Amino acid sequence: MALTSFRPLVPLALAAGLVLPIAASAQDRVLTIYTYDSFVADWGLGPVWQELFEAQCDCTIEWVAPGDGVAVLSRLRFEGGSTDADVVLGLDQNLIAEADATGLIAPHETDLSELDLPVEWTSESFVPFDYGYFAVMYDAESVENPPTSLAELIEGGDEPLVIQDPRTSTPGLGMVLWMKSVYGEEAGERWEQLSDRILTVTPGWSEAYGLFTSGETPMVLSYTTSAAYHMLVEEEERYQALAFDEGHYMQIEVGAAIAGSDDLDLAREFLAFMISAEAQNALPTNHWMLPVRAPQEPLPAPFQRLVEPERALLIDAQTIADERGAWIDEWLDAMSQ
Amino acid sequence: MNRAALPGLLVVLGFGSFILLALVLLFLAGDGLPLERLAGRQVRAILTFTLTQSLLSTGLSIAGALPLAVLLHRHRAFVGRDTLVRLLALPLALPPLVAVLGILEIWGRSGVVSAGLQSLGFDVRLDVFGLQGVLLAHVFFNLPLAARLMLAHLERQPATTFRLADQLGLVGWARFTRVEWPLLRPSLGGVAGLIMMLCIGSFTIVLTLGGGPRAATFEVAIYQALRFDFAPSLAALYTLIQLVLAGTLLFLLSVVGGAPQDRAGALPEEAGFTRPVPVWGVGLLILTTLFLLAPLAALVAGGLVAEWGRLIQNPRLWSAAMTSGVIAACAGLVAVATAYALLVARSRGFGANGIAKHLFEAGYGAVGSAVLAVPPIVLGAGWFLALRGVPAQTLLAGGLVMLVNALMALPFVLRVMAPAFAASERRYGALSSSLGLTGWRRFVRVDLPVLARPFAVALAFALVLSVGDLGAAAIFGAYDLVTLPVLILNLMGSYRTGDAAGVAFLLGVFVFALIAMAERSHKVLG
Repeated sequence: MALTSFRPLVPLALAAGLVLPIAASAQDRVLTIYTYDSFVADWGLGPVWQELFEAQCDCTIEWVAPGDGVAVLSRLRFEGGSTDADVVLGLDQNLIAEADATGLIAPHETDLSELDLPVEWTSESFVPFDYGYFAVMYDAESVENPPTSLAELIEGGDEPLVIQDPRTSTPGLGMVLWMKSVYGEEAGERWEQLSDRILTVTPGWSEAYGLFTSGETPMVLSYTTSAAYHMLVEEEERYQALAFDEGHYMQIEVGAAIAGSDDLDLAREFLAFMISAEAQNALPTNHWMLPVRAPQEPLPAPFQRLVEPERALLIDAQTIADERGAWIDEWLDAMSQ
Repeated sequence: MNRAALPGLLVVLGFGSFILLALVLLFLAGDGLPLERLAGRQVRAILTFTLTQSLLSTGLSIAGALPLAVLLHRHRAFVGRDTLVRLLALPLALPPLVAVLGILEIWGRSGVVSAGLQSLGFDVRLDVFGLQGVLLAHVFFNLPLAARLMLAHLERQPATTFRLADQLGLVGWARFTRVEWPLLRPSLGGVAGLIMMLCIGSFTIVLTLGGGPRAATFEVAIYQALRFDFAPSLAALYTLIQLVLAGTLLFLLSVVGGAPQDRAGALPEEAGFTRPVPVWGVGLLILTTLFLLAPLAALVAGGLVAEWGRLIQNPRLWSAAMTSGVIAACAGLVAVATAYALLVARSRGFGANGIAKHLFEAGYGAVGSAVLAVPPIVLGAGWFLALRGVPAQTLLAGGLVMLVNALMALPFVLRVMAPAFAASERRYGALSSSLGLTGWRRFVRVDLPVLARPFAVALAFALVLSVGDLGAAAIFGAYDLVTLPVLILNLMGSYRTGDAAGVAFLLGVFVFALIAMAERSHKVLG
């Protein structure tokens, strides 16, 4: 009789065993890559790189995508030394000091001499694989007077804007840093003003951009390069990026090898692959960001017509590591009013 | 105390320590409570939003339900009345996430209402995210609940009261102020408290319709502190506040007296008007029906146009369905088995009186209603932290979600099983004892055959609750545990609304099939 209440656990244990993913056979080399969700979407860069890399590595890539970029870092911190990840992909330069501090990241030992970035790259653990500038994308058919500056976006107009949550998303964090670099101490007040036109805050970029493309919002935080996608793939001119007088905050996306990886050589092979000519050639028209090495052929025409920021804004990673918590609290305070 | 008490005691101790350990784990994980945040703007903002939305949700639900309950009580003969009363029970069974999808289809910026207004020439698009969306969804769930509870309360009043009112010719407003309102008023505190409790603990609705940080309940804040910031100490602080809030409300609720029992529609028709429903009543009935039916209709429509050809080839759907099925089945069985153990212990395990019996009664009550005060998110949060770095996490996470779901279902399961069990004890108890049937043999020979139907009904309820749960499952989503609601949330997240609607439709159909089966059994039971 006492057993009745525990008996149901037995079928659970048996049945749940069936649900578990079947482990890959031992002779396969498996590279587990943690990244953000839109990277591995069907239309994303993930599948393209996977095909290219698997053709040369005699291995299989397994993707784990827990959300947007900051969520990837939270997951790593949460799992600590027990993480399954071999490579982490899609953090950005804003997070590298914090990621380094976890002690989970191995030195990259990759030759970066071919890099052609607008800024000098010094990190010894992270390899940059693309860059871009945050921008507000807008629908020219719904926004009557497109703002020409961050100040105008904050003060004028009532077309709604969708942004991402800085606690989970690298664009969301980018916007917090953008506001911080322009407004400094007054950023909190400016966020309070801006919050009036924020329709919703999504956990990640893909949710926000989905709301934009489905017509739920005429403005969304994304990148200057997003316009190239609409012009090139959809042959649609109405979706453009807003150029802001104050300048645009920059994002450099990075990858790194995990020190505790079972196959650190393979992880480093992947880092070198990311900045190879073939991987970089595939990047602009699959990932809609700018390549980190000079393209072998000029980028397609729409890329020449993108917003060119007058000033690239950037805050150093150590300052961000020290202040991120306080700045996000400031943002939360402003947004919860 | 005798041997029959043992399984029930084990259940009380087991679940009791499961709950306590969850709290201990949560509080030990952080490095001290960040008490300075208690005075911070975020805590104030969350508290303000939680109280505002729950008070408004409660007020709106009751205001809408009051005339509806009165109308349904007065008029018992109009066409579609029974269907409407049954419709009132539907939202309760609907997984919140499924309802949210339906509500978005109707009230979203590109939903039916916005489109309708635009085709009429109004240049407006509804903005559902934020307080308004949360209220809409809470009223969708709680107005029907309130209406059923109030209707049941009216139906429990002596029929002579209403016959007297009929003879005095009390109709309309006078009948309301002289008869119905005085009868209903004492029950309002209980109804309001229950709804308030449900809204304070609201998770799925606030998470999906809140529209970001300006709208968070403590439940959502706990989830975000863990999943977004990985800040266990902050989650612990929010848990503490949530416990105090829920505890205070539970205490107040016990003072005003609990919510009346939900037995709407169970009584035979005797009193009541045969006159036609007044114009305002017809309007109200149509509006209520539309309000409740439209999201459901949108779900069905969305489910029918989903790209099934592609969806059914998606292995993630089948793996999620499998995970949900296994977890729900086990949670249901555990809930029913533990409820049985509790009932057996309570009825056969103790002498007529004594400290042991009183202690057990207290434990029984605590375990049976613990989930109201210690919500799934909190239980999940504590155990979530314990799983760090442990092997076979996905399997363990599944087991934990199953236990949390079983605990969630326990109060409902007990409510179905307890009356049937008591009736069976009265009939067969003495006979079984005199035949010396105890333990396992009594279960197989007497209880199982006699109680098979109520057990099945209780199991169905537990399955419905578990298969639709997002709270515990969302927390454990970090361990790659993907149940159907988590899959829907992910699909919504990546804005594949079509696919999300398809999966929600599947889940809805499954839930309604269970409910229909349970309802039929219930009727057979009498």
